[in-house]
Amino acid sequence: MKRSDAELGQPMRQSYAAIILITYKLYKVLFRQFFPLIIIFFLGGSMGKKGNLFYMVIAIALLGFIYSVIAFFKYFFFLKNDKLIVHKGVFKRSVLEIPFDRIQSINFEQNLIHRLFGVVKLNMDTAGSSTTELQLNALDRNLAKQLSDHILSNKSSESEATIEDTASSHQKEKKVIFHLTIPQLLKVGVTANHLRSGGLIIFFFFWIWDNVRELGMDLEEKLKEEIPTGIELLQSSLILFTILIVLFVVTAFLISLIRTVLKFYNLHMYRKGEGFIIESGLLSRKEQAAKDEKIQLLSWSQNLLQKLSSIYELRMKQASSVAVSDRGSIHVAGLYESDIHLTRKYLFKANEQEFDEMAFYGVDKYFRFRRFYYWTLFLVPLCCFFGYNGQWSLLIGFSFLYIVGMVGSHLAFVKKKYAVTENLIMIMGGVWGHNATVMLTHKIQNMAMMASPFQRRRELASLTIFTAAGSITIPDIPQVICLRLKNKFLYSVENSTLAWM
Amino acid sequence: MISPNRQIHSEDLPQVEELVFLPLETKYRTVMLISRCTFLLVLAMGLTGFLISGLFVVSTLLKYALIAALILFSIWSFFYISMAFRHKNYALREKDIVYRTGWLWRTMTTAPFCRVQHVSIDQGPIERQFGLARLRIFTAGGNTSDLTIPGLKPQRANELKEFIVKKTGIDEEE
Repeated sequence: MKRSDAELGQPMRQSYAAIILITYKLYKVLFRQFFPLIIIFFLGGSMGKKGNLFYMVIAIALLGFIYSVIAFFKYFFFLKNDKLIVHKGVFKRSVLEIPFDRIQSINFEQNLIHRLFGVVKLNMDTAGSSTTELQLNALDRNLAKQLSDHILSNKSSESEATIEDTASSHQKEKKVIFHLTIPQLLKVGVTANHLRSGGLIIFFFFWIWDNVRELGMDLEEKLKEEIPTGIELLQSSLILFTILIVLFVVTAFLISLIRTVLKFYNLHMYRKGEGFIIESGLLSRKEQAAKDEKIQLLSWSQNLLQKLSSIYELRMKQASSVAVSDRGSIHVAGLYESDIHLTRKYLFKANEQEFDEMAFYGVDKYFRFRRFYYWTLFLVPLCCFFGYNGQWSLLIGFSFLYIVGMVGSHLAFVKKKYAVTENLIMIMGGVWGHNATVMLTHKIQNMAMMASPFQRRRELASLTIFTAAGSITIPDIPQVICLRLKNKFLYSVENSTLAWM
Repeated sequence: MISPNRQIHSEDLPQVEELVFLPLETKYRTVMLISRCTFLLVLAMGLTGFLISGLFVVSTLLKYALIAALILFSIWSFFYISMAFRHKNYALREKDIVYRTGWLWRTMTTAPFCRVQHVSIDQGPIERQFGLARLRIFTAGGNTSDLTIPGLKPQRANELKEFIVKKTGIDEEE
C-alpha cells in the first residue's frame, strides 16, 4: 500500500507482526536470564516442584504477551516538520523527536519471522551520543522503503552537496560490486577460522558448566561417581582420546561452515551514490549501509587457508554513535583481489592512485626481538622443567609450540610494513596470513606516541593513531621518524577542510 | 632492502620536539602522593586483616616477606611518583595541544583542536582541597584516547578551556 506524503504525517503503528516480534524479543531476554533455571528444571527436581515451575512459566509467558500487546498499541510514530516523532512506553510514556538531519543511515533487517510476514526491521543510526539509535521492529516493506526515502531526501544537511547526494543517490541505481555465489560461499565456509569455532565450543561448555555449578549442582561430584576413572580413562585410552579430538575438529569445522552460510548466504555488495550497501544472510536477512564519509578504516585480510584459495575478507569500520563495536563494522567475505581494488577505487576515489606510489617500510628488528624474548621467557623454562622431570610428551609438545612461536614472530616481523602517502596511511601485517588496513589522514582524531624504556634504549617509539572507529599502531620505528610522521599527520589534519564524518 | 632511516617527509613542518613544555602545579605531586597513600593504606589494612584473621595458615617467612614487599612497594611508589611527576607536562600550540606523561613508559598524546568534541573541567575531592583541577579533552577517538591534563589551577584550566573552545568553534556541552 502506497501512502501519500500527507499520510506519513498521520500517527501510524507498526505492522501487527510487531506484536509477535516484541513478544519474541521479550521471551528471548527472559530465556537468557533464566537459562540456568531451565537447565535445572530439565536436569532434576521433584515432580511437585516441576509442576509449580510449569505454571510459573505459563504465567510469565502470558504476562509477557499482554505486555507486548500493550507496548504495541502504545507505540506510534509520524513525520512532522522534518522530524520523526515516536510515542512509546507502557508504564512511562515517552516522546522521541529525531530531526532528519540527525539520522545518519537507515538499515533494513529481516530475520526469519520478518520474512514470514513480509515486514522489515528498521535500524536508524543517529549522530551524537545523547540519543540512542532507534529501532522500528516491524514495518510493511513498502512503508519502510517510503519512510526511509522520505527521511533521507528531506534531510537538510549541513552542506548543500550532501542534500544533492542523498537525494540523487536514492534515485540512483545500485551497482553490484560483488556477489557471493554458492561455490564461493562454501569456499568461504571451508576456509573460515576454525580455531575460533573450536574456542567457541570450549567456551560454551565452560559456560554451561559454570552456570550449572553456580546453582549448587555439583556436576564434578556426579561425574566422579558415574565415571570414576574419567581422567585415567582418557589418559590410558588413546582411541577414546583420538575420537574426541576428531569429533571436536569436525564439530568446529561444521560450526564455522554453518555460521558462514547463515551469515553470508546470497551476499551482495552494491555501490549506491556515495556509499556501499551490503545485503546478506540466510535466515535473517540483513541490509547494511555505509556511507563513504562514515567509513574510517578499511581493512582486508587472509588467513592461511584463504591465502591458499586466494580469497579475502573485507571490513569497513564506521564511526558510530555507539562506542566502537562490531555494530559499526561491515564484514564481507570471499572477495578476490580485483574486488578489493574495486572497493578501494570507489572509497578513495582520486586518492586511489596513491596506492601505486606507496613505498613500504619495515619496522625495527626490536619488534621481532621482543616476541622472541617473550616466547623464550615463558616456554624455555617450561621445556627445561619437563625435560628435567622426564615428561617427554609434554617436552615435545611445548618445544614444538616454542618453534611455532618463534617462526610466527619472525613472520610477523617480516610482514609488518607501513606506508604513508600524501593522504593515506596503510599498515600491513599478519602472522600466517596477511592483513592490511588503510585510512585517510584527515580521519585522524588524535595520536599518541609511546616509548617503553627498552624502546628508548634503541631510540624507538610506537605511534598509535586513533580514529572514530578504532585505532591503528605503527610499532617500533625510529623516534625521529615517528615524530616526523606525527607532525606530518598533524599538519594534514589541521590544514584539511574535509570532514571526517 | 628498505633502509629504515631514509628521510621521507619535509623538514619544515612544525616540530613537536622544539616545544617548550609547561610543568603541572607542584601541589599536584602532593595530590598524587596522598591518593597513593590512601591506596597503600587500604592495601596495608587488607594485608593486616589477612594476617591476623587466622583464616589462612601463613608461615612466618611468608608473613615477613609480604610485609617487606609492601614496604618496598611503598618506597618504590613514592620514588616513582616524584619521578613521574617531573615527566608530566603539556604544551599548547595554535592548532593542537600536547600532553606528555610517564617516566619509564612514556606517552605523548596530541589532540588537534579541529577534532575536539568537547572540553570539561573536573575536580576530585583531594584536588579541590588543594585548589587544583583537571582538564579533559574529548575527541571521537574513543575513551582510551581522550586527553586529560591534571594538576592545573582552576583559572588556568578555564583559560585553556576557553582557548580550545574558541579554536574549535564548538558549542560548549554542559
